[in-house]
Amino acid sequence: MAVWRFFDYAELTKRNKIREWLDALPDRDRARIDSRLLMMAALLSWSEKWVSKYRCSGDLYEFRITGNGVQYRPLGTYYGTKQYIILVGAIEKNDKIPKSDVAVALARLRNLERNSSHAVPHEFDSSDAMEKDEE
Amino acid sequence: MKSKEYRESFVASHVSSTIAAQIFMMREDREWTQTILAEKAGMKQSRISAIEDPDFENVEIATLRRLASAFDVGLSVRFVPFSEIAVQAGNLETSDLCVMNFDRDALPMCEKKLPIFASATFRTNLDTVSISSDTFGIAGKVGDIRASLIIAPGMDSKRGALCLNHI
Repeated sequence: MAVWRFFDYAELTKRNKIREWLDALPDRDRARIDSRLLMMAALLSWSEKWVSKYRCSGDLYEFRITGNGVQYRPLGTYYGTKQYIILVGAIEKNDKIPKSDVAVALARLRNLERNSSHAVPHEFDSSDAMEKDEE
Repeated sequence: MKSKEYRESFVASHVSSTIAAQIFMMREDREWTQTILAEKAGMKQSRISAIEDPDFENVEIATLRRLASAFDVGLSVRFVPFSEIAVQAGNLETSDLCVMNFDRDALPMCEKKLPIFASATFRTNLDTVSISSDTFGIAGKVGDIRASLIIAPGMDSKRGALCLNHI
């Protein structure tokens, strides 16, 4: 059984903003993010190689995942015991996460604090996609 | 695993992140610093740091053999169907990643000092407590008994070992 549970940020209309972001990525990069999250779910603790605190913000953390020439930096926060929520899918540009993504993450964090309905369980597509392959 | 691109990328990431996770967890379990592991494996500390990065994909099999030797664990490298990777990645457990060394592996299950996944204490008025499987049993005086479920790395969590001890 996995140690960690991941959540995605969703609008109250149920639009899952993280799933939308992931689905828009190239297959090979989405595969890397899927694989990384599955591995992190099984780790008792995460070292700084896996997640690090985002500078200038007390509550935001970033995952560091290298895609095909792209540095993915999903921003999120710890959300209860052994739970983590991804707030925004960010991509590093010129060694920095765009300020607009940080602003969105902070706004979503505030929304989440007001209403926990913004958190929906993260779903992985690697296993069910396997079934699609076999159809 | 919709596309070939997805499959190839998933496998590449799965391999590098598994190696990074295992090296980190086995090192922490043994309370070794990166420097200690580097000395035992005859490598530089900076190399250990790089291998513990889940994005690092240039690890040679010879390097893995040296690390396996340093940890005194086995190493298995084999080709598998994608379906196996998908199932494995989706059902990973901590116990799959943190591998015990040969000395601990050789001990009876109850003495391996594995993480206890579940435990409960109960009082019995029987002189002998036994489990029907005949694998485990304990004889002793009336009193409190602690039952602990222990799962070895690679073992199905539904088939862990149950250890009973008088308290």
